[in-house]
Amino acid sequence: MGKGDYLGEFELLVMATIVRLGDEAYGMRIRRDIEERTGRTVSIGNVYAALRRLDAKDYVGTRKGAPTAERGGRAKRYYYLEPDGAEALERSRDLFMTVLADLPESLV
Amino acid sequence: MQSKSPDPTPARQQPPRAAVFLLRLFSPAAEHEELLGDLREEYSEHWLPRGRGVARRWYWGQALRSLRAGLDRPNRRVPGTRKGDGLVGNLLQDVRYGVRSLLNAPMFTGLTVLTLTLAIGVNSAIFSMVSAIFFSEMPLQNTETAVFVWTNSAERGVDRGSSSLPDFLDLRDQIDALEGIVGIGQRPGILSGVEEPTRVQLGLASADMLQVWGLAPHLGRNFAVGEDAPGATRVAMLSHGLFERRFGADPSAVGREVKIDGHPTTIVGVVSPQMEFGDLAANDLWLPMILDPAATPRDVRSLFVSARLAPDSTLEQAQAEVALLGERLAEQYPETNRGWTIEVQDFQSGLADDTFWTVITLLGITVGFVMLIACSNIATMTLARATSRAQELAIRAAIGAGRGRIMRQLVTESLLVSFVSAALGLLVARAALYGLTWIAGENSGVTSFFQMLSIDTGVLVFTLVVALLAPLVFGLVPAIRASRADLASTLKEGGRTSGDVASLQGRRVLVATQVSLAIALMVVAGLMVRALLEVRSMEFDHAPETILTMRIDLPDAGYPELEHVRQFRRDVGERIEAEPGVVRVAWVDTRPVADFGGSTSFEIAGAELRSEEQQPFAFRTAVSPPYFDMMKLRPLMGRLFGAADRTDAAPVALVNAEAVERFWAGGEALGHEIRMGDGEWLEIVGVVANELNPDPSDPTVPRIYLPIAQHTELGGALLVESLNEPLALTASVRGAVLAIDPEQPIADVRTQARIYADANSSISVVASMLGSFAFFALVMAGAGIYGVLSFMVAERTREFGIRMALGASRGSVRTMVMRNSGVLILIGVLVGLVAAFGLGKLLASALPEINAGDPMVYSSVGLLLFSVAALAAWIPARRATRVEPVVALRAD
Repeated sequence: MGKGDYLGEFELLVMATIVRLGDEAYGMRIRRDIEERTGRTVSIGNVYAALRRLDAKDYVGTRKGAPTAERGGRAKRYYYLEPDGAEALERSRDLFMTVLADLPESLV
Repeated sequence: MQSKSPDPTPARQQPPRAAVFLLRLFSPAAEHEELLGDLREEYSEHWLPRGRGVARRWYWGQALRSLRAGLDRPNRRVPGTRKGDGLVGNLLQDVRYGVRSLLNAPMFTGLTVLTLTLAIGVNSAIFSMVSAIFFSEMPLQNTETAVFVWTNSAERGVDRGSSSLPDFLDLRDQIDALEGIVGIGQRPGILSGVEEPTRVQLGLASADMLQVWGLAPHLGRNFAVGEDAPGATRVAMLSHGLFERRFGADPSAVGREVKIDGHPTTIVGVVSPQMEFGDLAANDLWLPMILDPAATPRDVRSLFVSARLAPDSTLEQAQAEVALLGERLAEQYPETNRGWTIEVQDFQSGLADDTFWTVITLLGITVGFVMLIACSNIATMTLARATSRAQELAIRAAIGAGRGRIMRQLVTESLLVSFVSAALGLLVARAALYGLTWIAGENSGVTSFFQMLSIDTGVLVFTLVVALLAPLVFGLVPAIRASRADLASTLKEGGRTSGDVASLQGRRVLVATQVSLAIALMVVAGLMVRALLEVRSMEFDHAPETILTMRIDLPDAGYPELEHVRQFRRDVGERIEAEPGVVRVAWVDTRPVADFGGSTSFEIAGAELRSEEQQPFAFRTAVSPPYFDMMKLRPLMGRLFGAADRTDAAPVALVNAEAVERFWAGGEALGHEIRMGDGEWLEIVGVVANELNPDPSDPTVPRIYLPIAQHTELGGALLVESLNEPLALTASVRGAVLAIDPEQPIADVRTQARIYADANSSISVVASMLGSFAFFALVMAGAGIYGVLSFMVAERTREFGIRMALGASRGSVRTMVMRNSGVLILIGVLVGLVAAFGLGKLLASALPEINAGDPMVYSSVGLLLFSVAALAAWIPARRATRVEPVVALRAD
């Protein structure tokens, strides 16, 4: 993926949520955060599919947490932005700012 | 909802298993931990305030919605479009999914792989044997014109035997319909001049043999014309094997001078490696066969003769000509050739005899049976699994998988199973071949055949074909069924599809067939094992396990006078007798069963001349006096040999009871004189009991014993009876021999017991093969019957519930199930017994030791299989009726 690549909508949501959650950015939190903010149902499978794509583009990195009892003894996987990902997120934000900023308040 | 008060213990908060299962199936394994952990964490958060039902519904929603996403692969920029995936993408996906789904059903996968592995393994082992005959090449080019020439004697029981050198020369000079008539002989020899002296097997060939067979030398040259004339310079060719073993494949071996039997001999070449075939592979060196008709008598028949049909000649013409020659020779040399005929046989039918083909056919049938049982088992398992997977497949179809896509998925899974099984099966086949070679024994006659066995490319191809064809059969049927399934009802019913009548019938036939196949195999194996046990349990008067034997053949170069041979034997004997534990030492020219003794016709002084067919004949053995004590041969009349029976005393002989019975009509043989050929007259000084040995081809035969001191030859064998472990004596015996003659090797060291066992190794081999097949068949059939019946019973659980709810007792339901199965099993047993009898007859025609009608075997095998099958039926029947009627009614 070369520079100048823009993110898909869902990927953008996931990346933004990772930034927002900071140290608490793992699958379930990301999913619920997006669900609460957008009001639409998000499946955990979709979140991981997006994370997988972002990981393949080297936009996000991961580290493993400790297993906990309420997870049935399974470990969490935390996500954070890689420099490439941060750059892509910035680029997408700039793009949205540019194209959306001077639209009139109401479009209907 | 009563369960509103939350239970805080996490163990109770298990998410729905089926949903977890689906998620595992449809998501990459590497992500399972975090994904399932996330869902689990959130699930308990839903559970606490809102109750179990809400949490479960939520979980299911997450699982189902995640299915599609789970199938996404990384690096795909546009998720969601499936049509443009391409075959390779789908294939990879199918394989990944297939592996996951197979690993998720370890029981099914394990059993299927095990079944196929064993089936493919035994199949490849058998195929290796058959291909060793069909596809391995006899070192003879243009086989369509090649023929074998045999001499037969009906009266002596010689069928397709070897020819004598003078007969061979007559054949070569007088038959017009054949050309390129060449002979091959074999004898032991001693190779020295290279490292320490060793005993080697010498191949003797007509000088033009290699040219006629069309074999170029590997190195150097073939024998030249004239090198087989008496008095020619001594030359030899190395076998390819010896060239590598002893000369390190060093080309400078050609041109070297070695000693063979003490004679300086020049190595002129290395024989083509193609000659390492069958019995020929045993030859270490090849010498030109010296064509001196005076050197060997006409009744020493040891040459294997092959030829080519002359242009424009047919097999029939050749046959007519040689038959005529046979008659002429019989007239001309009645002493040696009366009763002998000559026969020409074409190459193909000459390669293996009828017995061999019968055994191969039998093994082929066995393999077919085993394969059939294995296939029907796999078909059953796959069908059962397809039914239990119906819901999963329906979900796939519901989210958009086409029929072809689902079928491809199922076939991919079958292929995965096949390839794994094929790889494992080859390992099994390898082990089986090692086992066979080991059972055949290192010294027995069949070894040379088994040495040729290896897994070659042909077997690999065969295995791959089996591995590719099998899944098409096992995978397609359920695939077609599944793809036809009615989605809505399958999803609703939770995957239960009641079997239609046709498939029910099919399964019943399957059960009966498996029983019959298994029973047929087991009976045949049982017959073999019984014949083997009978041979093994033979009781001897002597104790073969206490007798150490070995060949000590002397070279003529070191022993020009027979007195030297006698001196050597005396000295060696005295030294060995002095060893602790040694009871007695005997010299013989041929060991019982191990060495081929000569059958000879003889004449009784004063007796009326008998017709040709009734000319007395006997097996002749030269022995030293202790032989009789060692073999516990009692004198029935007269005396045994003593130290006085030497060349300076009157020539004497002993005969056994069988000879007296046959040729003296049970009367007085003592004092009569006999003569072999035109030799001197020998007085019969005693009659001994018949020798007992377990050689199936050697029932009680008439025998003549001669004192070895009066009939000294270079070839001989030593027998040592010991109180201690006889093989432990080997080193001191070798020491004793080397002390007398440092150039003299000893060879073929075996106990007499081992010799007996080796003689029956072909039965052992076939018996152990059939035995393992039969055991395999029994296990497979048992498992198969159990599988089919549990499946049938499980499908009827609801029906049983109704019956019991209406008042039927458990016992009566069980009886009903057992009666159904019992009829099937009984039919199977009966059909199997009939088939077994047919196979037994076939086997008995090849191996006379077999008693095809042995009622013990039939009844015990029938009973055993019936019990196994009944047990396999009883377990599911019991399980079905132990369910509470209410539960059974609810069962879906």
